[in-house]
Amino acid sequence: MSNNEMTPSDRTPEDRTPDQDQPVPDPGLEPYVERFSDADPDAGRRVYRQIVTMYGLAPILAVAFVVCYFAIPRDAAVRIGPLHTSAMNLALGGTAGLAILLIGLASIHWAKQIMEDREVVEERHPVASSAQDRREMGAAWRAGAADSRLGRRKMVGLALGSALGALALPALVTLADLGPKPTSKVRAETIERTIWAEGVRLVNDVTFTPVKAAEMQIGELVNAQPENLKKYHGAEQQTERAKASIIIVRMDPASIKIPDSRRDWQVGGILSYSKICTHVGCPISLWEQQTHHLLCPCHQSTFDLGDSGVVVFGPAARALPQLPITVDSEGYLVARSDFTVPVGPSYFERDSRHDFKKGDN
Amino acid sequence: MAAYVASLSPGPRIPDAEQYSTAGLTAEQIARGGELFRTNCSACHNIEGRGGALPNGSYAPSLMNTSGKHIYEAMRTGPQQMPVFASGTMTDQDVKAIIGYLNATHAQPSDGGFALGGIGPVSEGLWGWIIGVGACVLAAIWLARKGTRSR
Repeated sequence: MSNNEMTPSDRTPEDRTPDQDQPVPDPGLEPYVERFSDADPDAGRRVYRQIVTMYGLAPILAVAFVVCYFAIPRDAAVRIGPLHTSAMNLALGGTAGLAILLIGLASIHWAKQIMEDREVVEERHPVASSAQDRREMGAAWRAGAADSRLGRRKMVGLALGSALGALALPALVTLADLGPKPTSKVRAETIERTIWAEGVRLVNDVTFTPVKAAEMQIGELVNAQPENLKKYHGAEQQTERAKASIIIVRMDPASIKIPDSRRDWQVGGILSYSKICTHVGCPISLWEQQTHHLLCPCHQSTFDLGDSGVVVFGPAARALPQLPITVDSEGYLVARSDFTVPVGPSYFERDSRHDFKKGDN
Repeated sequence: MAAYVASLSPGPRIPDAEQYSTAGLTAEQIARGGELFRTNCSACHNIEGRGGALPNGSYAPSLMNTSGKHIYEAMRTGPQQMPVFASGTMTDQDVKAIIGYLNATHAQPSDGGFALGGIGPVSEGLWGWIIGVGACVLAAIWLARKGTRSR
């Protein structure tokens, strides 16, 4: 290294020669040794036969593919051990796949055993164009600029620039108008509210039967929806369902913590929480009735439903919103209001000061 | 012994066969059972009832070989960490529909090739990465080798 004092950037491409540029001397190529297929004529013929055979099988398999395509009934199935599959798929995939595999193997065999295999050294050259090319290019560019007469008629260039620049306006306006602007008013009417309201009955998700408080047992879990979800249809119903989905659980009141501020949010240990994870919004109903933990299957966020839904594990940053509930005159569970905080995952403008934190009362 | 245990605490009694028998279910009721299963059960028991893992070493067992009677009893009593699905919100008819859906699903031939346990993308990804990518790496090593020489 001591005789190599110039750094690579000091040298122009023209100075660089292969011999001076290397920190260690070039060892050159290993001496060439023949392959068996070159040294032994029998081995050479054998390789030749193998390659021709592999290529030769491909057309046979191609014909077999066509025969299988017409001959095998579409609903025939093959059962070999753990493999259960359509006979047609197996035959078509097998013949076409094997044909392509054989063509590939034969080509590699050809390249490795028959094609010339003497190693050659190809010197790498500088990437930059030669000085002469660069001079010619510069001259041509300047000549073209002079020919355009932009130097004398400057307004043409200005007009072209503003014409192209103005085309950004339609693009900007249409891209900016892809959806409603998330102003605080729009947010308050969309993602910050659900269709839960005072007196809305809690109904079973699939059957839409209302849930009677007296019929819920300790340890019971109900996946529920607001009764007024039935009023919505199509995409609108899906939008509302995505926000309003809840789970109702009943726990022994003596075994859970109910803060004073939420004493009238529950009915004898029956509590209702949003089903939408506060991390990225997966629906959660994986509830362990003995630990009272609710586990999100997507990223393992775990909420303690016996402690106002606070996070006990995982990436979720906020407690699961609780829905205040009570019973109506007929004994059915009804909501006391909408959720008091926005449900679902975080977003930039979300006001997270009102979420329940561990230790709140 | 069963009578003694029953005398200690009241609880749901052993169901009659007609409470979980799936005889006479219509295709529509079985489809409804599928909807109920996906809403209430699939979070823990997997989308086709093959079971799944829960925190701290507990797990939801596979339902592939579980009898209708045992499914009925588990839903009504909530063994271990499983929540209770009581008759007030989940009627006998709903439970029958769920059992009917599971039976119908498990009776269907799975002619999609290797099912790899039917537990979803985890086992498929594992096989794809270890077997598939492993084979690609071995093939690349073979391609780049110089091969045997005569001396």
